[in-house]
Formats: sequence, C-alpha cells, structure tokens
Amino acid sequence: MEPIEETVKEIKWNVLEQFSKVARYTRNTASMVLISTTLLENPLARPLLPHLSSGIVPAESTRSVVDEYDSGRLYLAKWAAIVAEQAEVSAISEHPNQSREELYMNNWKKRWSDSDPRSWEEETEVGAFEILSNEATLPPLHATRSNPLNAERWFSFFDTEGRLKVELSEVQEAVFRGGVEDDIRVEVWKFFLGIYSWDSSQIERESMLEAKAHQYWALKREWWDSAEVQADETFREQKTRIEKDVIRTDRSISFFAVEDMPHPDPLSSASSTFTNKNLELMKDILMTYNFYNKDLGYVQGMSDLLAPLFVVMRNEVTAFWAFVGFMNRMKSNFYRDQSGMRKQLLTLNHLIQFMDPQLYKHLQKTDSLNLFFCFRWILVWFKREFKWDEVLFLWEVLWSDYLSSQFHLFVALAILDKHRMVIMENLQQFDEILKYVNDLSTTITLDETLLRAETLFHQFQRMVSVVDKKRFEVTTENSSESVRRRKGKESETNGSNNAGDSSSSSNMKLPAIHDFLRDLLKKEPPQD
Amino acid sequence: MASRKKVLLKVIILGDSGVGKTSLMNQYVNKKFSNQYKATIGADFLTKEVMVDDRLVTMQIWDTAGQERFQSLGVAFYRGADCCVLVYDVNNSKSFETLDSWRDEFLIQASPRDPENFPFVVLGNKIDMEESKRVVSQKRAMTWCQSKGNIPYFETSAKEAINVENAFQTIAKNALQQEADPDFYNDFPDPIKIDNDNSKYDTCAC
Repeated sequence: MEPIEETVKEIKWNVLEQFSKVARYTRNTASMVLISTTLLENPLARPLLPHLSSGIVPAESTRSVVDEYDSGRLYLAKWAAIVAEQAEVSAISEHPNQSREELYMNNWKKRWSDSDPRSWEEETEVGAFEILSNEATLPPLHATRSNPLNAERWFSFFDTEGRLKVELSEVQEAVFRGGVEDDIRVEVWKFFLGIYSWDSSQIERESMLEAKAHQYWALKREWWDSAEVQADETFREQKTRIEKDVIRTDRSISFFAVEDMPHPDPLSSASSTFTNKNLELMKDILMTYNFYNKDLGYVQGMSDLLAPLFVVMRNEVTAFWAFVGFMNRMKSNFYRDQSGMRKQLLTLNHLIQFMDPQLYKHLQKTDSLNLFFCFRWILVWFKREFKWDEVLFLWEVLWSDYLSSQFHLFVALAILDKHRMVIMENLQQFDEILKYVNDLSTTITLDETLLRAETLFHQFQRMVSVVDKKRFEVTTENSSESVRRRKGKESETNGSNNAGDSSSSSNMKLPAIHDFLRDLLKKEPPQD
Repeated sequence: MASRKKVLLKVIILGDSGVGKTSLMNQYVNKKFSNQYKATIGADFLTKEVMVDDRLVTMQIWDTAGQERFQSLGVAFYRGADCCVLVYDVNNSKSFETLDSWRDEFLIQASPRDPENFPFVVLGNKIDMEESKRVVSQKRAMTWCQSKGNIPYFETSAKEAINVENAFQTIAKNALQQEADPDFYNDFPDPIKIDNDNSKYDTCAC
C-alpha cells in the first residue's frame, strides 16, 4: 500500500480540489460521469487504477447516462475513501496533540450540528436536538488501546493454586484493551470459551479437561463407530456438506495448506483430491458437533468459526469444546428461521437510527435498511473482513464482554461510521452499497475500528442516559397522578417507551430507545 | 448529452452449496479459476459488459450462498432479476434433484410478472471430472429442462473454461429479451457502439 499512499499524498490537494467538484456533481449523474472520465484521464489518478479491482473501473461506456447500478459511482466511492483516509491521517499529523478519539468526537459533533433536527423521526422536534447540542459540550469520551496482555501479567492474576485473585472485570478490561500475546492465547481462550470456569483452581482445571476429553471421545464414537449412523442418509448429507466447506476453509493458512494425505473415503465425490490430517480432524470436530447439537446441525459459516479455534488449540478435544463455547454465543446466527440474524440486523438498524439519523435516512432512501450488506460481518464475526491474525485479536476482544456482550454491533457501526460520507455522497443504490461494503474486506484497519467502536459505545451510553434523564424530567413536570399512570404503562411494555407518547404535552419529543438498544448495554452474553 | 438509458441485466445464480456458482461467475467475468474459493456468505456480484445482438449491455451477476437455510435472504437479491441460472454438479445427483425447489423458490421470492415465460438457464457443471464419477446423464438433465418449458441447457467446466462463455452469452441474450420492452427501447433507436476493452485491467496484481 505504501506506494499508493505516497502517490495519494503527493496529489492529495489536487485530487481533493477536483474531488470536491465531483462530490458536488454526484447528484447530477450526467455531469458526474463526464467529470469522472476526466479525472480518470488525469495522469495523477493513473497509479490508483491498478489497485482497484477490475470490476469497478468504469468502462468507456459509463460516458452514457445511467440511473441504475453504476460501477462508476462505486469507483468514485472507493477513491473518495482513499482520499478521506489520507485527509484524516494528515489531520492527525498536523495536530499531533489531538488523539484519534478526539478527532472522532469532533466528527460526531459535526454530524449533529449538520444534522436536520427532525431527521431522527419525522415527529421528533427541536427539544431532542438541544439535548445533543448540550451533549457536545461534555468532556471528551475516553477510548484507549493498549499493548496485548502478556504472560507475566496474566499469571499475576492468579494465586498459587491457580485461582483467579483479581476481579474478572480487570482481566476483561486487559483483553478488551489489547488482546493477548500469542504464547498465552491458548490458555486465555480456554477461559473465555468456557472450557475452564473462572473460579477454578489449576487442579480443578486438569480434571475438567480430563472429563471433557472423556465426553468428547464418547460423543465421537457415537457416529464414528456406528454402521447404522454412517448409513443414514441425513448423516451422509451433512458429512458431504461439511467436507465441501472444510476443504475450502482457510487453506492459505499453513496449518490447513498441505495436501499430503489421500482422501480417506473412496465413496466421496472428492475422493480424487488430497487432504491433510488437520482438515480431517476439522471434519471430525464438525461432525461431532453436528451430533452434539442435533437440532442445529452443521450450517455454512461454522467452519469459518472453528478454523481459528483449532489452529490456536492444536488439539481436537479442546478445539471441539472451544467451538461449543463459541457456538453457545453464536448459534442463534444459524437458526433455520434466521431469527437470530434478523434480530441482530434489526438491532443494528435501531442503533444506526439512534446514533446517525443522516446515514439512516440515506439507507432508507436507497432501500438498504435491511442491512444485508452487514450479513457476513455478523454471521461469522468479521472473519472474512480482517486478516487472520486480526481475527484472532478481534474475537478475543469481543469475547471479553467488557463493555457490551454485543460489542460486535458497535464494530459494525464503527465501520459504517468511517465510510458514512462516502456512502451518503456516492452510493445511491442498495447494490452499490453492498458491493462497496463487500469490497472493504481485508482493507479495514482493526485498531482504528476498535477505537472508533469504543467511542461510539460511550456516546451511545451517554445518549441513552441523557435521553432517559430528560424523559424523567419531562415526566416529573406533569402531575404525580399521570406519572404513576405512565410508570405503570412503561413497566408493562418493559421499557420500550414510545418517544412521542410521554412528551406530547410538553412539545418535546425524545427518540425512542428500543429494548434491543437497551440490551446493548448488558455485559452478560444472552443465553437461550 | 443524448439521454440513452443503459441496459443493466440482473442475473441470479442459484444451486446447491459447492456446485461451482462462484467459480462459474469468476471464470466468466475474470477468466480465473481457483479451487479455494470460500463458501459464499450472504451475496455478492460481479459486473461485465457484453455485446448482445449489437447492443452493449451490463450484466450484473449475483452469486448467493448455497445452503437452503439462507434462502430467506433471497427476496432482497432476486428482485428485478432478468434471468436465473440454475447450477448443479453432474457428479452429484442430489444437486440435480434440488433444481426443482431452487426454481420454485426463485419464482416465489422474485415473483416475476410472467413466471411461465421467465428465462432460466441450467448449467451442469464440473464435467472436467473423470467420467466414472458422473451420475447425472445429459439425457436426464435435458429431459428435465424440456419438461420445464425448454430451458436452455449447457454442460460446463468452470475449471477448464468449457462452455462458460457460450452459456453466459445465452444467459445475456435471454435476459435481454426479458428486459426488452418495445415501448421502452423505442426512444433509443440508435445505440452507440463502443469498443469495450474491459480486459486491460484483468492482469492487475490486486
């Protein structure tokens, strides 16, 4: 990337100047296409071309007027993102005393001061906006990243019997802020994935592990040794499905790359291909899980979740139980009726509406409120969006449950937040947004995303409390009788108060805070 | 500038997991094959500009996840489709047997105006594998296609690039017929022919 960054830096002002013209013309497609063509012909823009995938480089034919999906718009969007990134980097270098977090905070203030006060919901009136203007005068929010947790600090958390002697939140914070170093990852994950309980001693953990091994082999024998099970049609179907996915999961990782073993099943349609020991064990783990959780079975995406666990554990038994622990959190993503995915996409939808009404409006206008372009992010927790090492790091941060058990939705919000201007100014269709978001894969900077996500979380938390406080004030202004009545009503609806409802008398409309949003403040992962 | 609406043909590729949907799309658009494409999660698409009957059109080819569990997402992606490509693996009879339900599900979710005449194309993929592995005969596949209103049928190999270009040419042609509405195109009687040289960026190292 360095050469492009260099080039972009050199031509930045030139491009920025021209780009601002483009941005202004974006709404007028005909002019935009003319200018985009001119820009593409600019020799300074050339070095950018090879780095954009061929699919999005506008062909000559984009000279014609288009009002449907337009690859030219996507091209400009990607370009705008590069330019914006450079502008941000240079803003930081020009103001070394200003942290990124303050920069995000400024963006946040700007977003609200630019915002149409009524864009929350059509009926939301100026009162709510005032709250947020006041909000902007509060001291800055703190989001920090630190070094990964190392062995020395990790062991200092435990007493001589190997029992945790500090508050769990201290461990959670350490992992949340910096992840963990490679050499202790295997141990730390066993705790976070429920193989070990946090209150256990070293000796207890050893016997836990022994019991788990026993249980695993018994489970595996149920299908491995049974001719009846092996002959079952559903079983064979699942086996084929697992095999198809395992042989195409993370094969670029050396652990799964080699092909030094002939296929063990001559009846398989893949029998002519070679495999390796680890791939075969992956299949066994997924088959055993398929047996362990018969209602759910194997669903596409699970192999993506297992692969990093197996590579870290390097052991069939612990990888299986780590997977069980992870799946306890993730299984609703794979339900047949897709209810878990729908709920999370809906939560994210509410979150965007609450935190970024402008972006929400744009998504509404472009028929994109289903947020299907975030489907992959949520289904496999950004596994396809970040590089391998970053995925390990991101997952442990998410498992820490330090701020929210659904922090991944703030990560999603953070990525959208970073690209909000590009999306709003350049992308006018659902398919353009989907393509743009899909193509962000492996280009997202994790550390920055986590900082942004944490800042957004704190802003969210603060806004919820400000809105609640304001609602309480409005309520107490009314007669005590009506307060009692309203409180009864609120507890009936379990807190999901309607924004307009309680404040109609005072000409003050507050944004609704859906139960799903309140759940984001919980640290305990949902259990079902 | 003359106001000429560009034609965008939306093509949806459906079929069981692992039959080669992503590979076919990539072979056609990027002329590349890899046996390590990951299972598709959600949906993605590639676009390609092609000449069909002297008209330049943009094909937007949608690749979707093959596991039936994720089909409820389909409605967002299928809407406005101009052609649906049903893919099965000639070495896997189950993937052939499910073509019926893929077709039905598509018609339900996309709800095209004229489902009877909506263009489908069937591709029997992976014909590069050894003959002894093959379990669905050409005859069986063609009989099915005929019974569904003469769906065009192609036997392909995304790996060896066999018949892929041909199949997609037919897909584009049938999609264009679906899209073509005489009133609509009368405004633009004189399409400008542009020499389309999309391939010059194909060799980039990205």
